[in-house]
Amino acid sequence: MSRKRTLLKVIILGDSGVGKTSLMNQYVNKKFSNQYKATIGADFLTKEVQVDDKLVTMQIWDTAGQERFQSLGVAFYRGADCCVLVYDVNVNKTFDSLDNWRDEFLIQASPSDPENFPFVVLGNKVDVDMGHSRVVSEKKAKAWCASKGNIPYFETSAKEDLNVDNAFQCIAKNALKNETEEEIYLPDLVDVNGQRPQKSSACEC
Amino acid sequence: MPAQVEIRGKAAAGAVVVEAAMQGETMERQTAAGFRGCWRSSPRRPPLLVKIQGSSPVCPQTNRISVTDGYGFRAEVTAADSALIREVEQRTSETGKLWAAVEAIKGPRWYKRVPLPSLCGSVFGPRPGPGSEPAPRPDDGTSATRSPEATVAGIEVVGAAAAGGGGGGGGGGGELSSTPKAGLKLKFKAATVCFRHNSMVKKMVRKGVPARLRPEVWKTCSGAMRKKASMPPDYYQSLLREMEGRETAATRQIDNDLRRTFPGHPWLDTEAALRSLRRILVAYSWRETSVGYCQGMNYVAAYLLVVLRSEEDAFWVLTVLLEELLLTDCYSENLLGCHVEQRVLKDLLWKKLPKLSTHLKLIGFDVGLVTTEWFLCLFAKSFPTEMAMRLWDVLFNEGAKVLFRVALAIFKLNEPQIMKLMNVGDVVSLLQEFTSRAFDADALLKVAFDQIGSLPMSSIRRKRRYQQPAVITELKERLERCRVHPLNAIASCASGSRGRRRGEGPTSSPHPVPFRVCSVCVFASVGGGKRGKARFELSRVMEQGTRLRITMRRGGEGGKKKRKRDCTWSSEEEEEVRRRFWRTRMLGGEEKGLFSRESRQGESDVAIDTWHALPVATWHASTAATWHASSAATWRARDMEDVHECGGSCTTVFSRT
Repeated sequence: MSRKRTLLKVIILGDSGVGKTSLMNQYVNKKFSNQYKATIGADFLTKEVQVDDKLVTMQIWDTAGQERFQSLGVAFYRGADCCVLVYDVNVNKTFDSLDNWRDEFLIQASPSDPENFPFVVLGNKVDVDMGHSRVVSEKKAKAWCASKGNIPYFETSAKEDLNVDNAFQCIAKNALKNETEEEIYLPDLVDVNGQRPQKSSACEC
Repeated sequence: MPAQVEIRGKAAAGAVVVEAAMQGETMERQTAAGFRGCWRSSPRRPPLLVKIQGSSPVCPQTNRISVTDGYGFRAEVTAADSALIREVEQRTSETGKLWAAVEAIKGPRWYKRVPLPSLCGSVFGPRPGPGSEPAPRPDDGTSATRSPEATVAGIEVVGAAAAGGGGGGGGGGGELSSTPKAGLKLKFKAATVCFRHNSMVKKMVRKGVPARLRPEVWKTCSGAMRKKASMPPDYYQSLLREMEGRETAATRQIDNDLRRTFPGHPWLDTEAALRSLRRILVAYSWRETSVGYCQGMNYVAAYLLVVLRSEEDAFWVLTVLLEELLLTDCYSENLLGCHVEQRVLKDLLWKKLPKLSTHLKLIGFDVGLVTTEWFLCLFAKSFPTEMAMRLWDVLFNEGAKVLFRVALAIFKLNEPQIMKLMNVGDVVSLLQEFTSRAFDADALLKVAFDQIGSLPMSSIRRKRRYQQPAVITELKERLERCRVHPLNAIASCASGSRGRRRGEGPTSSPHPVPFRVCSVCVFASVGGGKRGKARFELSRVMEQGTRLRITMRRGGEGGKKKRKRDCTWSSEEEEEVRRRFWRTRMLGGEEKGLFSRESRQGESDVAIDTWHALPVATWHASTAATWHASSAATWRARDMEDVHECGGSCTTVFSRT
């Protein structure tokens, strides 16, 4: 009766200009460009990933960073399996708003088990100015992650392709974990991937 | 790719031409004789130069050609698409000739819209004295200040167009009002002329404005010139002076977005142009501090700047666009207008394309996923340049409803493919692919104007008025939830929330879902000849022991009489419905003519003639998140909306687990 869904939905959140689109493109297309347009609404890319000898499709949703776009969140966040929070290590404010992004996500996506919903935090742009312009220390970021329930933390550079693969591998893993747990709770779900609904012989109420 | 329907067919025809052309070196083509000019040499006049780079025309991996259009925007297209682009260019140049011909007859700026004189007053009792001056239409926002001038222009058109004895008709105002009867007659005549004139403008603009005339036509039709004239001449400069050196949240965001607007554009991505763009956005953020700056405006302003080539004009057109043409608050702090427009579009989808709308609902596709970008960038980011320009031509002349028309046309053209897709992501990519390759503006606009059916502004306004309070409530609720301490907020989302809220303490149930759908019984079109016209409204939500029962009421729509009858199912009926539903599901298909019932009035009212095997799980997947989270009240409101859009679920039973 349990469904077999191999589609993982991952949402990337963070302030405007921290490099969400770049990270996504670096991971999926393996290329960096400084000519990305500002994202409006949302956009997504997909990638096939191998996680513990299981092949899954990761659907990565990139969102707009301006605060007022948070009110549109419900549509985008629905059904997410993992949420990636991105900040720019060179801008303090982007780190400070992580709290806000996290809460906003939990409120709007309202996952079944918010305490244990998988988040991953990425400190991006570590390459800028050889790290001299950096203002948020790794220690500070890690402390924040620890205080929020041991969120995995990665320091990345989309430009130099630093740690991007590792980070997304971790994201996929956590998303998948969340996925299987969900299966226990909602046994009657149907594969939304274009499969026919599973036949059921009687009402279960 | 499965995106194209009609457009592809035409493209294939031209494919041979391009292959031949690709053999040669750089190809340059003047699209219309007489509109010569080059990008660099005459900055005020955008050249109509299509450049297909033939030296390295096809990228070996992707098989794509790089095409730069008349406004300097580059795109990578397939051979078939580039053939199509050239075909469209050909047509554009024909339209350009047509405009030139009309201009030759009617003179420059002939497209100035003329307000229709109101005739009602004179029919029921002609006003005495010089009442022959036609009154401006009150609802036409653009007519207020320029009516006298425009009316004269209108009557001059009589002189030019009527080509005959009536040549001097426009002259004497005194003559017009000599007798009430003659005045009335002339009024009728003037009205006819105005009407003809305006519908001609409409027709010509829909055909497409040639790039040479675009700046003037946009400024005139949108009413930007009038708006500019109503302000002191140095208004824009004074705004800029005010903002000089200030740093606000808006300017920070603007600076963040400037280089990410149209990167790589030969003119927009230069320091001078970026400074202009910045000034426009900063000035607007200061003019309307409640809006400030919203991402999306940068694309709109950039397009305006590229077309108008004048910073101040671009500012005024942007102002008029945001303050008069579009719904107010589209870009405001909470994007209220944007939310409303999306709901209106959802309504329209349900009305115009019910099958598609139902399907989208079932797979959990929220139109906001694609339309946010459409409405906030006015398609500037989604469409190829020429298509977007054509859309904007009409937008400035006819107002925001064209956005709905085009959005509906996009859905309509993709309906067959979307119906086959079961994944939200696939639908999004299909639509993105389609919009990015909509090179044939004529084909898309034809569907938008001729195949969508009537879409009066009044009905859009009505829908907006209807949706606005709901959106405001929803946004408020969201704020409320955010205001609660984050941990509390999380707790209220959490598994045992329902129990806790009622003071029962946390539940020990391993199931986090307070109510689980155990059957979604019917989703049906309703018999009686008017198939597909009926819709159900939520009339009652009752908690019966461990069950939550929702009943629907049929509210007729579409017929002249609005019928509302209570269609609550009795328990036996419900049992029957449920039995049949499950049977249908087991058979995995549809059954027809299964069930009919008496309404409370004793008429045989609802006969369900199509049963769809609607899987419970679909509902679960699309709305589960909502159910988890919200209190009973919000949950009810949301559910009502779900049902509304779904177009007729009759009975939904939830059982507490």
